[in-house]
Amino acid sequence: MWTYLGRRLLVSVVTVAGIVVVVFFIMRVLPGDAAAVRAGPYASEEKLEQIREQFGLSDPVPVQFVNYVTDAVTGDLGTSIRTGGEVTEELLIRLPASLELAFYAVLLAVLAGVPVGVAAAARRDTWLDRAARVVAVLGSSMAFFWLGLILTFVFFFKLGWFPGPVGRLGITTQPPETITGFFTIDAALVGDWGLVWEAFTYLALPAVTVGFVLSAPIIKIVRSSMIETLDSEYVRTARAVGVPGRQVLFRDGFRNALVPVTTAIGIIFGYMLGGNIIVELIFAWPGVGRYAYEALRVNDLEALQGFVIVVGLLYIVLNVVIDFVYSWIDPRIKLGQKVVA
Amino acid sequence: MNLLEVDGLTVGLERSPTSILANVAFSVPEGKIVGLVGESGSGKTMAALTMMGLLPDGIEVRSGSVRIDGRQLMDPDTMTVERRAGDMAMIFQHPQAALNPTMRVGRQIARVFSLQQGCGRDEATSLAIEMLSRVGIPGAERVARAYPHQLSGGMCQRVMIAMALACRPRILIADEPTTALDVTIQAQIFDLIRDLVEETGAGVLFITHDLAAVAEMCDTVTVLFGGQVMEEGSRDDIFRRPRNPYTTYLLDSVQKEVDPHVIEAGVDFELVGCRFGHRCRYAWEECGGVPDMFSVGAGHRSACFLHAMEENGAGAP
Repeated sequence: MWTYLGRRLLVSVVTVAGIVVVVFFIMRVLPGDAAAVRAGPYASEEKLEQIREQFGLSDPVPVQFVNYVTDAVTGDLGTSIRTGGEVTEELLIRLPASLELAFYAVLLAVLAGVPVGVAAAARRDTWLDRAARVVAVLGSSMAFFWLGLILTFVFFFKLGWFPGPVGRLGITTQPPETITGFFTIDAALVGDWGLVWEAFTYLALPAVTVGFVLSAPIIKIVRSSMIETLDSEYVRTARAVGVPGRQVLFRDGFRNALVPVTTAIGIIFGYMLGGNIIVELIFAWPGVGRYAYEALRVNDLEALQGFVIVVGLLYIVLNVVIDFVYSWIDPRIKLGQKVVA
Repeated sequence: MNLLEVDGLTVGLERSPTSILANVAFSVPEGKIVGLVGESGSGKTMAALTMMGLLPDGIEVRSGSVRIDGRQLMDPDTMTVERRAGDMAMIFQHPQAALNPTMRVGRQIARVFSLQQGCGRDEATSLAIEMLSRVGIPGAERVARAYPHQLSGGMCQRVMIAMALACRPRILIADEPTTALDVTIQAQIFDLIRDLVEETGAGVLFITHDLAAVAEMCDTVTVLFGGQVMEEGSRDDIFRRPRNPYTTYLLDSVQKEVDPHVIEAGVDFELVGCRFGHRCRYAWEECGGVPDMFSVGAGHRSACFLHAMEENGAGAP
């Protein structure tokens, strides 16, 4: 296992280096002038020069690159030209918000999608299966912004069951002390159950919005891989020796469908890692997706670069975790071998 | 006294007149090995799955009865076989694919013991290890902890047999148990099955397309073609005195050149009469109907209109 981790770490370094190079140079070819945005429309030529000097934009590109990389390896991803703050710090403040939303959204999608997919496969071609397929099609053709707005309109504006889209907590509420960065967990750790509840009410609508859309691919993959395992010869064997239906369904069917299902969950979780820009905008969610969006609007190169690199790092971690899960759920898979799911 | 009696079994596709098995009958006496022979698509496996109540979706039983010790297993309302624990067990063609890949093989066998005898986990595990030694697996304790992919095909088939025996079946159905294995392993598995018949007195339905295996293993043989029983009799009857044109053809196909058009013609499942009719060199207009089984010797029966002609005094063509 340690050799595996060592090898993975080495590959990861190369991957991150690749990400840094590509991102850096793509950012340089983007049109627009960050200094002009920061200085404002009425700034003088001297003022612009001064800003360029301050943020190192007047140096030749290779020099900028070397400076950037030497800072980056120490964890310093530069300074945001938009806010003037440290990019690393700003990302780390926002990342837990995105991760918390992603976590609960994927959790909802799994909790809803897996049972529906299993039931659809077990009761193939019945009304239940058809209903599940309708939900899957509905989910995969649903736009985040539309569902988010509709949910807000109905459950906040009309019914008043959930708070409005103003972020992770009410405007006057003091967030819990940062331990994990997940408000629901931090509040629970200090025993403030009222705050836990409040955090959940604010999470509910964005998490449901994302969770519903993400449950569609989970339903589809669970259903199809369950159908495959339920038609397998080993399931026939289990039935032949009289294993009861429920045990066949889960121990012989679902257990063996877990590898493709894990892959699917990993992919959608990875997709959520960078924060869902549209959902974060609609619900005023203070996550990295919104940060990246703001940075992109004003050509804030270092902030954007930082964002892409952090998301890249998270992807690498996620992939290692998924590899471990694979080797745990399927004895045929050894760490470091390719998985054909 | 026959332990297993299958009679008038007709199985077809749902919402279609096509029948995959037509009026199939055979029986298995206690302690005997009965071969069910035929080429691919003749309905051998379908017959086994019907008896096990494991037919895939879209296939239905239209009529027929399956009896063990005279007890009817066919539920007349649902037309499915309701097995009791210990009636029948089955071993399959691809042993590795037939075992759960994410479950240790010892656990898979122990699970059967828990189900059949309601014993606890530890007892079931030791019974499973005992069973693995009984089917000739050396180092049973170690093997019990292995996953199927860590075992060879022959080992997996032994595990499969151990699993089937854990059901304490009166009838063991072996569906081409050695097709996926090499020849030396095949001989070992055959020996194992013969030993088990002697020990347990179970009847075996031995399904295969391999005539050499039939000659080696079986006491009596039922020849199936296109879902119809063509001929049945003792091993010597079938191999030395075949009376049905299809059996003759089948035997010839092993030994000498056969007319290629007979092979390529395939099976026409829409056909109403004798399904071998359009491939048979003796076919004449009568063959549009379904031939009865004619007794052509002691315990030797064949389904062919030729026998009707013989009975009417006409000479065989």
